[in-house]
This record gives sequence, structure tokens and C-alpha cells, in this order.
Amino acid sequence: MSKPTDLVQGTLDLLLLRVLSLEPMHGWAIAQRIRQMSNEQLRVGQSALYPALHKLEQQGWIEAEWAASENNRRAKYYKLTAAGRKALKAETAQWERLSSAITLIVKPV
Amino acid sequence: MRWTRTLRLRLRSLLRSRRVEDELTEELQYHLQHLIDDHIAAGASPNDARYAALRDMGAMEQRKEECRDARGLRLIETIYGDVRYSLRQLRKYPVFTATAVLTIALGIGPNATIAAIISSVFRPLPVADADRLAVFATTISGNPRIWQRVAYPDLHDYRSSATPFADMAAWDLTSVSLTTDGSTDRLIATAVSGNYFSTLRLDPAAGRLILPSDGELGGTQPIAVLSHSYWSRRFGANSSVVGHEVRIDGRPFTVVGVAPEHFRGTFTLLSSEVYVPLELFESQDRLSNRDILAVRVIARLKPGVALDEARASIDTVATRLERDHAVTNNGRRVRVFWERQARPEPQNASQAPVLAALFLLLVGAVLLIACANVLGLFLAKGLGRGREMAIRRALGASRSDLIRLCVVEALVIAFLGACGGAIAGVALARSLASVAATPGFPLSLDPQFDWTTASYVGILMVVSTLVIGLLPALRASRVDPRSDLSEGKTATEGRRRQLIRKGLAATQIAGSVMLLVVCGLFIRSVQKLQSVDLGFDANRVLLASTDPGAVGYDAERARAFYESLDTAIESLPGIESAAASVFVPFGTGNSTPYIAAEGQPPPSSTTGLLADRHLVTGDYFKTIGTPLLRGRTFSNVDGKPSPRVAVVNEALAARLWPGEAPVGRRFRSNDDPEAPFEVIGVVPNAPYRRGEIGGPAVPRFFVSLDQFDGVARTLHVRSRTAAAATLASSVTEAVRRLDSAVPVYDVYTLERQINDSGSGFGAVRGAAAITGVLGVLALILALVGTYGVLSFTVRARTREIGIRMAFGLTPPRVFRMLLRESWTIGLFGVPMGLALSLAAGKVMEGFLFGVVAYDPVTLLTVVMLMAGISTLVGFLPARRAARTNPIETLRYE
Repeated sequence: MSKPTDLVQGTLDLLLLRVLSLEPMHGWAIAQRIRQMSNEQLRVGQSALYPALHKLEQQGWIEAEWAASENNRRAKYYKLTAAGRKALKAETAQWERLSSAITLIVKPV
Repeated sequence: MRWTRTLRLRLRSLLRSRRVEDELTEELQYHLQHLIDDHIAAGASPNDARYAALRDMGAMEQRKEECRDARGLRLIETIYGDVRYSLRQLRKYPVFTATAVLTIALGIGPNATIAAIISSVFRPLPVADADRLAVFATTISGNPRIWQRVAYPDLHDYRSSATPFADMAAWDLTSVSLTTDGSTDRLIATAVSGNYFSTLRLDPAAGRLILPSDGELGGTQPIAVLSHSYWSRRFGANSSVVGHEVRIDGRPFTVVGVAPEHFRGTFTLLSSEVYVPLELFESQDRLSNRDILAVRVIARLKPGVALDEARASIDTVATRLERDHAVTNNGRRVRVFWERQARPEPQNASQAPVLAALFLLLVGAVLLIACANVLGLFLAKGLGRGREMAIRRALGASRSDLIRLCVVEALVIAFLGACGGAIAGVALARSLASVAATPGFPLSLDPQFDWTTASYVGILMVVSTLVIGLLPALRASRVDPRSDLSEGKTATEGRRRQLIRKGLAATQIAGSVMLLVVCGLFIRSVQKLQSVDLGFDANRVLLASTDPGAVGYDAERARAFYESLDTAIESLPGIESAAASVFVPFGTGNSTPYIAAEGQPPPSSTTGLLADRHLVTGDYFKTIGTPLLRGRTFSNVDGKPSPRVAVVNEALAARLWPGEAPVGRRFRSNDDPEAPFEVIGVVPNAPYRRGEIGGPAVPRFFVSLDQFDGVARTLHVRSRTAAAATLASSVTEAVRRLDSAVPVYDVYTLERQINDSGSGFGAVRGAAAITGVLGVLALILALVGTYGVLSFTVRARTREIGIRMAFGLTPPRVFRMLLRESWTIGLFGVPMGLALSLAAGKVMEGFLFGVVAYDPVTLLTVVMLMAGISTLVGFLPARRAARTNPIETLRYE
């Protein structure tokens, strides 16, 4: 299981925002989706997941709503707000700049 | 947008914490359930699956804590915890808590009182856009005085030419007798121009208000508008009062409507109960005379116009008027003030803020002294808490945790104290406002716990918290667990800590010195005022005002009424003499025409001499005890048809006829230049106003009441015995016997008029009383504080003293050593206080009479008092120290 420190600082927020931009989902589903989308490379443990979600909610980038889940239990669904959508764009751009910069350095000549 | 959302979420987390907590648990449970399902799908037994899932999940509580952190709740929650802990702590030390809270309450209370009173004086008028209202005042070049009235023809010109103004209205105060259903009330009335209510933008509570269509000056129709409070009080708020007929000063008036609730007129200190047309209460001659400053003005600036712009436009018109009407307007200017800053009168625009600041400073000093006391308590307690803080540090509390705990503890004390102080202080302000009824002036203030007062108290609470919490907090944060836990602290503290505590006591002494000096200066002012030779003898004179005009007497009937009344009163037992006048010395009413000696150009405001005019009867001088220096007083031969005569004071005679005998000379006044007065007598100068005391004598002349048609008079009755007040009922009875309908009011002694009224010495005496109470309060607090510091020092130094005594220090020397400490505190505190009081004295110089800010008598008295007190306060702890038994203290180890 990958620890949050294995991720570059701030990338978890980006991942969460990206995943939530697909559709509203609850915490468990978010973790599953990140695993699938990264070809099982990234695993976000609940120890990092929930505090990060609560922080994003506090920042107003995502909002939460209780709804019935696929197994018919009450689950807390998170969805992106307009501010969150804007933040996602900015964070994505930021990430692309950063990763291409790192690639430039790390790539063998 | 985002911050409102954040705030909403935080509030939700805070206020509905149970719900949020539950949701958090549920969310994590849901996750756990999925984990379990996964493990089962992978083939584990339900029990194993649950176990594995819980292991994956890690510490649930820690996860929750992290989520709470993410919600930004930790600080709030910990502070909440600190508050609960502080409350528990404070409950554990009830005496400490009660002392600290009470001390802070004593400090905050006077602040709340003064703040509530100041706020009630400067509360905006209850009208739309009150911040656009301005008032006018007249100045004349070469004269430092500011007149609160404006000549009506000038106002007319300003109104038509000064464009920055939306409108300007004229008004004035008058007191009237209003009769309805057979009984008469003495009321404060406002005589208004037709646009008064429209300028203020008021709407009636019932019926209609006086309108511009009634006439520029309110019209000649006898209509009246009642105040809401009088309407409720007298007519039970019944709207059938509209159309009702009442008699005002004997004339029939029709009530057309009621002014809106809360509107009490445009004079701050009085509550106006009825509004009548200006035209019916001010003579046309005065209103059309450019030389007479006849009306007060309230004006409304157009939206967005700056005051300077308005002033400039008024100045332009004033310059034009100076040119066009040189005889009357030469050097005359009109000054514009914001209405709220010119209360109660435009003359006070510069004084009132100073006075308010002075009183806030004084009560602020009381609060600081109180805070210093509580700080002393905290520090003393903090010493015993060194261990507790050290243990907390050792158990992992951070420095900021300890600082926060100390500040929260201080906040709880300050909050409780502020609540208690605010409640008591505002209640005190309310009762002060209701008992401070000054003779002849129905003072009306309504101090409330309003926003202004509340925010001021809130600021003081924060300041108090910082004063009493910061130092203990810093000290707690410096705690070192190793040294503070290793041994019981019994050594004498370092010089620095002692210095802080003594510095605190010295500051308290300084504050109370300042308050005592300010109080002393006011007391000395009162003494000076009362020792002044007034030139008349106020003892044994009773005043009683009557107004037969209120019940329809004309001048002829009133004269007959007064003649019979005179006979009736003089035949009463115990009466030496009786007289009547229109105005009372040190009263609010006055009449000041311009005069000129015959043979000089006719008097106007630019060419004449401003003189005080009194209307009196022949026995007036005998009754108030002013000797006649030359000539005679009025007698029966000076009736209405005979030539007008006057008695003048020496100052007037010296100005009009320097070096010549005045009796037999004639002079004119500007309000009726066709009928000159012949001087028949001369009286010595006597101050009739507070401002005259200690200043140059004011030219004053007296004319016979019989030659004028004044129907409202104030009887002056001199008693044979000392107790003039006992005549009150018999004099009132004498009036009632003649005609029970004639109202009698303002019955009290002339001495009371002089000593207690606002225009007499009442304000200075009130200031002396208030600062006296504050001074004594401050002194007591400072005494308790100093005593606390000293006895704490003795307790903390017991071991040191024991050792010293074991080495041969004799008890008398111990005694002297500690007494010296008390004196040292005084030695630093008193000069500091004297410096402060010189500064305060400089500020209040304008409010003192015959006393300078550095009045040696006051300063010396306070210094002596302080010396005596610091000896007294030092005595007990020093004696206790001298009785220390060295063997016992050392064995205690």
C-alpha cells in the first residue's frame, strides 16, 4: 500500500479532484477508482484519503451529500464544485509543468 | 463567497458537532464494511475478514482526529476544552475567582457607565440619514463667543443661496404651560418653522405634522403637534386626540398630530413634548430684525456634499451679506457643524469631545488599576503553579498550549467581570440620569446598553484579558520542567520578578494619584465658586414660578393677580420681603439687547454694547440682598404710561458714561430704540452667570416689570429664618388660594438654583462628585493591590528573612527594611502620578474655576495622603516580617 509520502506533495488533491470530475462518488469508490486508473500502481489508504477529502470540502472544492450506495447502504458522496473544477484545471497545469520539468532532468541523454 | 461557505461549514462542525461526529463515524464504518466484504470475497471467514479489515484501517480514532484537524476544528475544540478546564480551576479557588471577577467588574463598571452616558448624548437623531444634518452658529469677528442662534433674515438668504444644502429649518426651545381637561403641565416646547419636520424627514405617528404649507414660519394657525411620549402619557396614545383643543400659555391650540416615537426634539439634553409654529412664539419684530440672533437652525446637506463645501458656500453668502448689510452684519460669520458633533450646543463642539475623552481616561485609569490588582493575584498564584506548569510541560504540553491556557483563564475572568461590570454600570448610568434632575432644567437622557457601549466594553474586556493574562502566560511558557520540578521553590525570587510586582503597585499608586488630583481640582473649583462674593445673598431666598397666562389671564388681569399675591405673601408669617423677576440668577433664561447712551448712534450689534437685561419688581434688590449704591429703585410711580426707567450696575455705568454720574442719564436698547430708559439707580456688579465668575463684570441693567407685559414670573421670597425651603408649601398655597388654576412650578431655594443647576455650579459639583467616587474607588483598589504585593513579598521571603535574622538582623531593622519597600513603591508611583495629573489638569483647564492645573494645595494634600497611606499599608506586613521566628522558618526545611 502506497503511503501518502510516496506521492509528490499535493498530488493526492489532484488525484481526488480528477477522479471526482468523472462522477460523484464515495470514499471507498474513490480509492478503488484510483487503483484501477493507475493500473494498480497507486493505492490510497484511508489514512490519507479521508483527511484529504475533509480538507477539500472545507476549502469548498468538493461538496458532500448522503445518498444510497450500490449495496443499498447510506454513503457520503463527494462531488466537484465549480471552484473545484477551476482548481482541478490549475492543479493539472501545475502538475504537467512539474512532471515535464522532472522528466527533462531524469531522462537519460 | 468561499469564506461564507467555509464559515458555514465550520459553524456546522461547531454547532452540530454531534451530528458531524456521527457522520464521520458512519463514513469510516462504511469504508470498513467494504474492506470486510473484500476480504470475504477473497475467501476469508467473516471473523478473519473483520480482523484483517480493522488492521488495514489502523487507528480509527487517529483517523477521526486527522479529519477533525482537516476541518480546522482543533483550535476551537481545544479552546473549548481550555475554557472548561479554566472554569473547573476557577471553581476550585472560589475566593480567588470571586476577588478577581469583582475587581474587574469594579474596573469595568465605571467605564460602562461613562460610555453609556456619552453614547446617549451622541446617539444619532432618530431620523432618516441623520448623518447629513448640520447646525449653524454665529460668530462675530473680535469676539471669541459662539452664538447658537442665527438672525432669521440671514437664514432666509442662506436658504435661498447656499446650494449644498437640501433645506434649512428654524426652531427654538421654549417652556410652556399646556392646559387640557382642567389641569396644566409645564412642558418643554419646540417652536418650529414650517419645514422643520420635512427637513428632518419625519412622518407623523398620528394625524399630521406641521408642514411647509402651514407657512414659512409655521403659520399663524394655532396648531400643535404632541410628542409621542406626552401623547402616550397624557392621552393614553388615543388617536382621537387629533382635532382636540388644548390651551398653550392660555391660548387655544388645536392638536393636529403626533410626532413619531423616539423623536424627542433636536436638543439633546431635553425632551421636547410639544411642537408649535415659530410665528406664534417669536415676535415678528425679532424675526424680521437682521440684528437679532433669533432662531436655532438645523439643516440638511445634499447627499454626497462634503462639510467643507457647505461651509465654503455659507461663507460666500456671509461675505455678500456683510457687504449688503454692513450695519448689522459687519464681521458676522456663520459656522456649520455636523449636528452630532455640536451637542448639546454648537459652542460645545470643541469642548464636549475633550470632556468625554477626559472622563474615559479617568475611568480607564480605574480599570487599569483594577487589572493590575488582578494581575498581581495571578502572579502570586502563578508562583504556586510553577510545578503544575512544569508537570504539564513534562507531559507533553507545548509552550503555546500553556500560553493559551493562561490567556483563556484570564479571558474567562475578564468576561465574567465585564458582564457584571456592564450590567451594574449601565444600571448606574440609568439611575444617575433619572436622579440628576437639575432645578429648572428637566434633564432627559436615556443611557442604554447599546451597540456603542457594548463594543466599548468588549474592547475593554480584550484589553483587560491581555493585561492580566499575557505576563502569567509568558512566565508559564518559560517554565523548565527539570529545574522547576527538581526542588520545592523556597528561595527568594530574582530581583526582576520582584521588580515587576513592585512596578505594578507603583503604577496603581500613580493611577490613583492622578484620579485624586483631578477630583481635588474639581473640589477646589467648587470651593472657589462658593467662596466668591456673589454680590447678593442667596441664603433664605425661595423661588417659585407662576404663569397666570397659562389659564388665560391677559396682562391687565395678571397685574391685578400679582398685586393681590404680593399682599398675600407679605402677610404670611416668617417672610421678610418678596419680589418677582422674569429671570433667575444662574438660571437658563436671559435677554441680552445691544444698548447705546443717548446721543450716540442707535445701538446695533456692531455699534452697541451687549448688556444683560433683567425684568424685576421694586423690592427685588432688597429681597436678594443687593444694596442700592445710588439713586432709587422702582416704585408705584413707574407705571406703564410713565417714562421707562432702569437700574444699572456699575459696569454698565462705567462703559456708557465713564467718569460721570449715571443717575438721570438715558440710554436706548436695539429692540425698542424709540423708548429710551432713564437711569434711576446704580447697584454693584454681581455675577449672574457662572462664566462671569473670575472674569470681567458684565454690563447689566434692570427694568421694571410693571412697564412690561411679562405674565410669567418667578417669585423671590426672603424668609426671616434660615430654612427658606419650609416656606414652599405656604407660598404655593397662597397662589392656589388666589386662583387654584394658576400653575406654580420650580419651587426651590435660590441657593439650590446656584449650587445644583447646570447653569449654576451643578456641573462642577457633579464632576467633583463623580471623580471623587472614582478617586476613592481607585485608592481602595490600589491599597488592596499594594498591600497584596507587600504581604506576598513577606511570605515569599520568609526563608530569606529567617536566615538574615539568624545572622543577627534585629527585628526593628527587618521592620524598617520592609517599610522602606512600601515607601519605595510610593516614591516611584507618586511622581509618575503627579506627571499624569499635570497632563490631565492641562486638558481639563477649561472646566476649572479659579484653580490652576498644578494647584499646590491639591498636589500637596494628595502627596501627604499617599505618604500616610503607604506607611499604613506597609505597616502590617512589615510587623509580621519582624515577628518571624528564624528557628521555625529554617526548621520548616
